[in-house]
Amino acid sequence: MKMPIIVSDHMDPDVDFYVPPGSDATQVLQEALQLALVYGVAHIIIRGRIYVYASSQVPLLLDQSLHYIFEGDGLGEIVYVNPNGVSNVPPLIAISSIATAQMHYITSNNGVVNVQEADYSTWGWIIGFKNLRLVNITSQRWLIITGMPYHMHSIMFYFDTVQFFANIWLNQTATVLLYNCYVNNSELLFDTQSREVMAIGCRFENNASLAISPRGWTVVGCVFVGTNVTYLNPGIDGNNGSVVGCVFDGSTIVTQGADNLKIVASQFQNVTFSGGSVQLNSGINYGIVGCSFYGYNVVISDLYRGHSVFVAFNNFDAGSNLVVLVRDNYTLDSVVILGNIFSSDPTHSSLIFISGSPIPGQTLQLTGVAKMLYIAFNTFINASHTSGPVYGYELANNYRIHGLAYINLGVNVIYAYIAFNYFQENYGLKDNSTGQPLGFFSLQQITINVKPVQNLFFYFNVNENNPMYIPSSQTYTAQFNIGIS
Amino acid sequence: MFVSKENKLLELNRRKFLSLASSTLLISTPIAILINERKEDQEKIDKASSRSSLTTTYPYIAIVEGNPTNGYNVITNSGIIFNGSCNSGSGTCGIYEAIEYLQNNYGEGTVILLGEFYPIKSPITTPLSNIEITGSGIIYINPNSAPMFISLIPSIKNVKIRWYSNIGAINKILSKRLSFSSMPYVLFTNTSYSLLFANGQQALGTPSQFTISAWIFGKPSGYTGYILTYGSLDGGEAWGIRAANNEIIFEGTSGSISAPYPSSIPFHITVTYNNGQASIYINGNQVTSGRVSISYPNVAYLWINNFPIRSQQGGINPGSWYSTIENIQFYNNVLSISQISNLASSIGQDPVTTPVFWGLYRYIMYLGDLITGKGFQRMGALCYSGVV
Repeated sequence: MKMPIIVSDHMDPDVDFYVPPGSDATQVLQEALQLALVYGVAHIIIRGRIYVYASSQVPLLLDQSLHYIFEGDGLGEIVYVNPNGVSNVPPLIAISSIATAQMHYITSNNGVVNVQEADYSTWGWIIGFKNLRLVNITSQRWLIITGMPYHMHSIMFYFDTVQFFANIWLNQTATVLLYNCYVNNSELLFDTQSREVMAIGCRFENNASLAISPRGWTVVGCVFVGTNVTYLNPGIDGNNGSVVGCVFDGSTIVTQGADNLKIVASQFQNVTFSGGSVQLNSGINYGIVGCSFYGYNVVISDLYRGHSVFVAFNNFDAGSNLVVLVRDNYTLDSVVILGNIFSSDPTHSSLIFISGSPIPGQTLQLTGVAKMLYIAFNTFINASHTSGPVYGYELANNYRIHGLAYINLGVNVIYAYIAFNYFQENYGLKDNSTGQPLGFFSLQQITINVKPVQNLFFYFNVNENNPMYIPSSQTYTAQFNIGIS
Repeated sequence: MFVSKENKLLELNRRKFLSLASSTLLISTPIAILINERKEDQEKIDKASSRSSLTTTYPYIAIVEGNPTNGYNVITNSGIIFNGSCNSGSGTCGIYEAIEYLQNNYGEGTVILLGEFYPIKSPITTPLSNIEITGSGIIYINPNSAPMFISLIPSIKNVKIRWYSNIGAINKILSKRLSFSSMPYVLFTNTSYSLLFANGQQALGTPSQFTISAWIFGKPSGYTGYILTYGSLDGGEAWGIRAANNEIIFEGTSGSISAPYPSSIPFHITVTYNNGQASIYINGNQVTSGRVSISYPNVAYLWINNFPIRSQQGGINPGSWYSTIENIQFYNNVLSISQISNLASSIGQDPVTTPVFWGLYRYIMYLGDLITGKGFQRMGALCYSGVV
């Protein structure tokens, strides 16, 4: 007799619980979990495909009496169905955390563990899913929900080689690991007060999304493929996340206020699909380093809490603009654009736009301020060496910042150092709106609120005969340049 | 009985014999046919192989067949060596007699069990070498026969083992896994470990009368020394059994009774409570009683060992490198003196009537309540976690 408890729709001799194909496995799974208490660990092997019928009760309520490992035999499948027409279908799996909730109230007297540690620790509790295909064809949006009772930060999930054809919504988790998972047209949402999510080697496609709000997460070596509704979405409080070595094709990173997001060494290219983008909103300390953007706009907007945006050592190719927008009436401390290449082609320009975005619910004024602007060691080229149009960027309320130059400012700037850049000859690229030849620098006073840069410096640049578009009131200092007088 | 591997002429009879022997339909009446055939062929079936539908490891077999109504026979090469009830002889329905026969005559052999067996004694409690027990029988063990048959599990194959009384979830569990232990399996290696039993908001209800029974291996603490507690850390304590300052204490929400801590461990404790009147029994003898008031909090769990409300190390002190709290039974009524005495008679004594809760019974290895089948909450700091 082996420890794993085998639940199967096959009549193999080693099967503990046989579930005829298509019939309801609810009771069998509950009995398997009850039986697992002889070991203290529920290692449930799912062989074949089993169905769980929705009822008024959550079929599988996982409490803190067991460790749980649900594992497919090779690949097992759990399909959540509603053949009885239950009106309010509950999730298939919910989690309760009685022990951890109690640990919140332990005394600190004669302590063997810090109370906060007891409160937030998994203390080794594991809920694992392996080699499984999870399918939800009920009306319930979420296959798995961890509720939000008081003090629940104790859950350690791992999903190893799980295929999600079902949404999951986990709240107040501790460590969650997604490893070698596949997500199709489904949402994985790690929400309120969660902690420490890691997605490694996973594939998201066909309207799939990874939405994460925990503080402290990482997505490594993952693939996001599909139309622009396949996305990675660090939520409002999805702070301190890292995206490393990922591949995006037609998909999107969109944030809603996550701080300290780092996007590193990732590939963004519309190879098979189109419409991909990077949209970082409302957070601070964004860092984009060592990435490749090919036909991908990078838009960092609604910056209103100071701090910095750091974009370095990337390539922006074939229609990949870098857009940085400061919220009206707010100040961004610095923008650092360092060591990138911006490679344009006719109709597929890759330019820098630094401008503004409105206060939510109001119209755009362009009263924001980017205090310190460093643009250095970048290369700006027309890769095709052929003439053609370049495009601007449409701001809110139909305002538009034109593609007049490789670097376009449309917001208030106090200090700007533009140094050590190479502005290649534009080879006939022209702003599509005004018809003017592409310059190396423009300041566009889109509204009367945009003032001249207070301190504008050009040092050590090389500019191959590209014009500069600045208002007559703009003064600047240019030294040690070639092609800038 | 010898069965010849070489004698193919007898293969049909041998197969018929073994086929019958392995059939659950064969309880008592077909044995006559079997015996007749065996007698007719007896001289020729020596040393036949056992390659058939019933695979046996050894060439020497003894058949034990019967049921509680008709009694039991042990059939051997020497004839029927036992005929009686489960009370007869060794108190094992003839199973031990069959083992003994094979050991004494051949030094090895296979005991084939057919029927239903209700052994009541444990003449041996150590594993057997060179003896195999197989067949289609079912052995229903009780606290007295559990030691023998748990020790024989390495020698048992195919034979089902169940609890003699189908109480709670026990036989449902045993039908899937032979989850037995002859030793306590939850060892508290320090004073901070805890198990919680939760079953709804108030795991044991809010009874005005109850009895709680348990076996304790541990030493009193200098401070709290909780053994069993009903309550929650946020809601407070309804009642608790503690071992502190060389006393055994039963306390309610207000009021407590206490007695000197027993001089030897393990010991049995019973606490009865009847509408404010509480009594402590040690090893079946009442040692103290008095008024104790209990008010149930809205959320109440049964805590086993540590109840970390005043000290994170609030459990009982280890008796050696561990402590145990075993065979915990909770009844929603006040048990009689004789029932309490019965519970105190053996550490393996099972419930005297159907309890509300029964856990950490050493013979049935199960990390939860044997009545409801619900598990202990245990995944958190200060909780007893991991594999059982």
